[in-house]
Amino acid sequence: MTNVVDFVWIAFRNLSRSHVRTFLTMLGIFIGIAAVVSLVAISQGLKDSIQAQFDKIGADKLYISVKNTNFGVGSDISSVKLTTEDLDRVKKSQNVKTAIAYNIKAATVTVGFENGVHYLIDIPDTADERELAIALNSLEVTTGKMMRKNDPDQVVIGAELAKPGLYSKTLGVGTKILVNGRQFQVAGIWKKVGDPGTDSSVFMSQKTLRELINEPKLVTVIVAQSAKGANPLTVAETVKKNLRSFRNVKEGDEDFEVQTPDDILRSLNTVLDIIQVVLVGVAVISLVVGGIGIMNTMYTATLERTTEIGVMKAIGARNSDIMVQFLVEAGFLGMAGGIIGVALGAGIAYLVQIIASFYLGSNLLHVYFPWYLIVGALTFAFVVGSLSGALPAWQASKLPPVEALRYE
Amino acid sequence: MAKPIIECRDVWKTYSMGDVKVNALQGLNLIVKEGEFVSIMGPSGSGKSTAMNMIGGLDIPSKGSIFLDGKNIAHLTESDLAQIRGRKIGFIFQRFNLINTLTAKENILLPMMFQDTPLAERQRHATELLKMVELDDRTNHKPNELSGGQQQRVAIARALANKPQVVLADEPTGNLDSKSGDIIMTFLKKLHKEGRTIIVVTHDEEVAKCADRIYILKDGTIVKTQKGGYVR
Repeated sequence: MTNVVDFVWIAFRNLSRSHVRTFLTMLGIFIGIAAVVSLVAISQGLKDSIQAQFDKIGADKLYISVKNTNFGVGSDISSVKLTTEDLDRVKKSQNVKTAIAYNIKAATVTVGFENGVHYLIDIPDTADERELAIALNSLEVTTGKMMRKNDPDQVVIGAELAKPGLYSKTLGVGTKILVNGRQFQVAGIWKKVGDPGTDSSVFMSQKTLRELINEPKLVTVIVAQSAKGANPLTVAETVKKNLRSFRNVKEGDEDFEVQTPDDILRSLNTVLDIIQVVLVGVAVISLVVGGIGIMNTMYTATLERTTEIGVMKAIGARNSDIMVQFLVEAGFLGMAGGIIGVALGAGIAYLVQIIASFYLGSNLLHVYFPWYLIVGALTFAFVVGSLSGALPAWQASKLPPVEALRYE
Repeated sequence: MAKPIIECRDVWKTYSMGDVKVNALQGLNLIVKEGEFVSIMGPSGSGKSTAMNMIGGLDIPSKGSIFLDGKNIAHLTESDLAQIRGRKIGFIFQRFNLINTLTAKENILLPMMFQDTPLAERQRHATELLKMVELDDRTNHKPNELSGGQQQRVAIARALANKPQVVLADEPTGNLDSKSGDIIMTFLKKLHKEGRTIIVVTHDEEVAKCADRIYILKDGTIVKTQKGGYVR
């Protein structure tokens, strides 16, 4: 068998005879590969950053909220509510170390003469609970200071709210604003956490928020921490049971839900997986189209080089030599397309990372390139190329030398 | 007495063109001895090209035997024929048929590649052959940068790459002006002098005359054998 290096050398020469065609043929492959690589790298990075966020919260936390309410967002339309009595029940459940509650409500914020709608989030008023709430949301005051406990006049705002241009008057420490018509002063600004919801919310004391919305007992979310050594899933079951009996609902008919970070993580990952499968599926279709492009090019090459194939055969090339030659060329097209695609895909993924960190102000998203993604993408590109070239290669190899030589 | 290197015994080739069967060769008998310079001449349609294809192992006969160096090649598979062609026969075509993407030297390297000649040996031999055809200053030129005569000289060098026993030339001067044609024939004569077997298929009497022996082909069979005008 003739040396593979020789075939690669001839393949290179053949492909360089028409730069434009070679480039256009590779285009189909490298767009597909770039799409696959960047999508997988980004979604893998997204999963990792979500995992990291949940690791920070800790696996021992339980989230209790009204059913069918998106996590973290208060339901204004639902008549079902959680109250401080539910909180007490949760606190009294076996193996619950502590539990806190917070409310999230949409409110009208007035700055000067301008109005905007933002979420209000409250912070519990006891020292322990306060600390836990701040830790759970990764909050940190970078400008100004934290409002006092039970403070009726002060708020801390998310970093996005303090952005110049949001209102004619840029919000800063000391700025006076109206929330649902009541006047507050900005005491401090949180460091950007990267979650647009949190970053554009107004935070105030729990007592004050309840007064403001006239709901002295309302609770949007309860976060419970399981006791050390207890299985959060078992604790979640206990809490569920207690709340069921307290709220007088049957199993399966619950109007509330208890989620562990694992549950939430799993459902988020399921969504991400579905998105990933759909996007990668689309990218694979473009790869198949790219493969057809290679097939087309190789068929054209077979016709164009018929005489040449005859000459090669006359000077000693076996059918297998011609076959391998065409396969190597097609594979080379795929592989080169793959290399460009991987590079392009990596570039796109890093660009997304830079854009994400610029807009979200945090380094949450780290795109991830596992070795198997790169090796897999290159192998796949080579295989797509070779498979697409197989039929034309076989056809070329079967050309009878006499007819090939006579071909004009 | 030199031994026969090529022998065609009652070779027939029949092509089917729709319902009509055309006999391109009708019982061709021909012997070429080792070291001989032979011309096969005939008008177009006489079966010259078919005869060349049979002798060169590019095609197999419908009937009859072809012995190349004592071995019957009439029923070999395409891959076996390719091997034999590559080793034992050097082709020179009317249209030169160089690979346009490769340089002069690379074209000469190609047949050696198919025979798995070691790389260093290929390089050395190709350089030697380029020198022999007096094109050592055109090593890295592509065919389209060479004149017709120069291209045909590269083709001669390529034909000699695997040190074949037989050089088979199909109208080697057909696409050349007379001056370049003369140069090519001079090279072929030189090769013959060095002891190689040369077979030239042509319709050009001047070219045919260069040979020791001329076979005149008509209607797919040898009708006349005559001595050539070429004196060593």
